[in-house]
Amino acid sequence: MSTAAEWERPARSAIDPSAIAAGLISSSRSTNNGPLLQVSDLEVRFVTRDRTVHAVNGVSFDLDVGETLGIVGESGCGKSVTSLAMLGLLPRATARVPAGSVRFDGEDLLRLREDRLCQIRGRDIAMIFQDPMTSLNPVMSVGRQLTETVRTHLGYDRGQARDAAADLLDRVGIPDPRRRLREYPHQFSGGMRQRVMIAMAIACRPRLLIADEPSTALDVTIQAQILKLLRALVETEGMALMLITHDLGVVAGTCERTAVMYAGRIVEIAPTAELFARPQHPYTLGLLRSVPRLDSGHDTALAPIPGAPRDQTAALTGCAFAPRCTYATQESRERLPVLTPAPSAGAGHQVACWNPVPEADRRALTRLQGGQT
Amino acid sequence: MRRNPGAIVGGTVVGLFVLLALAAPLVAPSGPTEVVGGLARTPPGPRAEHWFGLDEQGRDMFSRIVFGARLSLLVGFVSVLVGLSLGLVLGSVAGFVGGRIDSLIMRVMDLMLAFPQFLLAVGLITLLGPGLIQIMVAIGVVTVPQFARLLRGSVLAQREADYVLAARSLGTPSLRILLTHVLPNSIAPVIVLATLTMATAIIDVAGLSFLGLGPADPGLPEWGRMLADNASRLESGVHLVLFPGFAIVLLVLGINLVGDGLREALDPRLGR
Repeated sequence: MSTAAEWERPARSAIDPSAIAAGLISSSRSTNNGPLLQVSDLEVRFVTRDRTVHAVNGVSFDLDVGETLGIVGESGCGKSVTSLAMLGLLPRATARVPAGSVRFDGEDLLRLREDRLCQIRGRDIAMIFQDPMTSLNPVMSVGRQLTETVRTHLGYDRGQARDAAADLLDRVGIPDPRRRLREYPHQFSGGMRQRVMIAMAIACRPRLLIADEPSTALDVTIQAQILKLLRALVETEGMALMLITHDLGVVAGTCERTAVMYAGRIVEIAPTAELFARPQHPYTLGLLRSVPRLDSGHDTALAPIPGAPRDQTAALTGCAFAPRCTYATQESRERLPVLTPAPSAGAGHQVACWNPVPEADRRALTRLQGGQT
Repeated sequence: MRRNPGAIVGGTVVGLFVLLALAAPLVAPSGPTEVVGGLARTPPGPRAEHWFGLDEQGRDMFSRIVFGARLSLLVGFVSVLVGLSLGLVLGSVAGFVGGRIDSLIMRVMDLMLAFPQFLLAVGLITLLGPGLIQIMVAIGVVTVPQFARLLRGSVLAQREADYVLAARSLGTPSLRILLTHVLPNSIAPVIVLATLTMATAIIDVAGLSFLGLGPADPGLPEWGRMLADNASRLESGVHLVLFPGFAIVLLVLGINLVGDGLREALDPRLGR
């Protein structure tokens, strides 16, 4: 089984050394030289009285300081569960994490005590959720919710916290921040609330920001604004970003690398441009084909993926995607494919498939895309 | 609340009683135990100088009822405070911590609910002994299961709210999440229950006094005791029973109207 550490990573935009000098990137807090985040063979199950759901089945990936990784997949493929498991936020009554490790800055988050995890959450790793309408406390002023984070982690007094909160609102593009601090969530629009959520998340300058469908609940124009804001913040703060989404368009414009998940596994991971140009996994190809494009003719039919997502209550033998796959063979159904470097692809491109998509079929897609990636 | 005439009437009634209680020495023509007339088998009824008449020991009934308002309001308030605070702690711990602690707390609450509330209060008073404080504690304790149960339900619902997950993801410690996020969002129905329970508590005190389990001091102008003492003299002086009974009904009605108004104002399901 190949682990995250063995992956050959593609050249990424180097971090500006002056940013480190300016204290924007907290390199001093780093205590080891490995990747910032290293998730290995993570497994999550949900156990109830009458059945067990295998939600995440051996997910491995790593993330460097200042890097952006997109995780795409359809509903129920384990994207969100992976991120919640990393921070120990899964419901304790039903969720089990039987195997795996999540090394962040040298510490395995899965083995940490709750009080230590509380210190890391919000200060070193922060999270943004999908629905800004319900993710803010309705009976607490925005200012109090914002100051709560900095007061917990940085020990600011009331005045300092207020200044910091106003500054944060300003940075996420909310006009008249001093007045807005006194207002309550219902006085903000959806896009503004998501900006507040982002402000709360970046309050302590975390080194890793996990955004779980940050733009899904918003209008398209607001979506674009929020993604632009995230991109800008990641760049100026030198944060690593893990962007979870089901929208390929979102990762295309935001992430350097993209991982595609299916049935609780990463089936393909590659630099984003490479993934879009040379998709290797039939599922990735299916996803790309099922998205409408502006430059294709209006009579071009979309190609949906046949079948339905796997019922994850049964344990798995073979490739989870095999029942829906046109390239599946006997081997696909019997032996589980693991992530390996794709034979006919660029650097850093790994796929878990016995029969990667043939060149000819990929070309059909590229033609459909008008030759661009 | 503005669009609810019942709540305005109730609020006015309760407000008047509170005013009466606060200004009792100024309003009442005599003290609650002061004898202003002679002993009489058939005490005189209402007249100009004694609005509610005299009782058989020659005390002014109006003064006794005015001072009695202090007692009833105090008992209602304190016993609700006892029930509310215990219920708040037990209910929020049960709902927020869950698991075995939840089961343990709620089974004890179920056990208490299995007894008729009034009977349980009678039992507690026989244990604690008679006296004002014991009565308030007993009546408070028997209302704990209602508060605990209601709060637990609402805490359970709020515990899974998105903003709680968001707060956890930002490293807010559990106790702070309970106090600043979960409780403020689940307290509204409990406040409504508290007002309605206050009305019941006042009736319960009157009932306990009526049964002879009231405050030990016979001089205390407790409305329920006045009813009990004079119940056998109904034919000789209707005013002896009528006015204390009327006071109880009026105050309880007022509090209930306020509680209903609060429920309407705080319950989002009823619309605004």
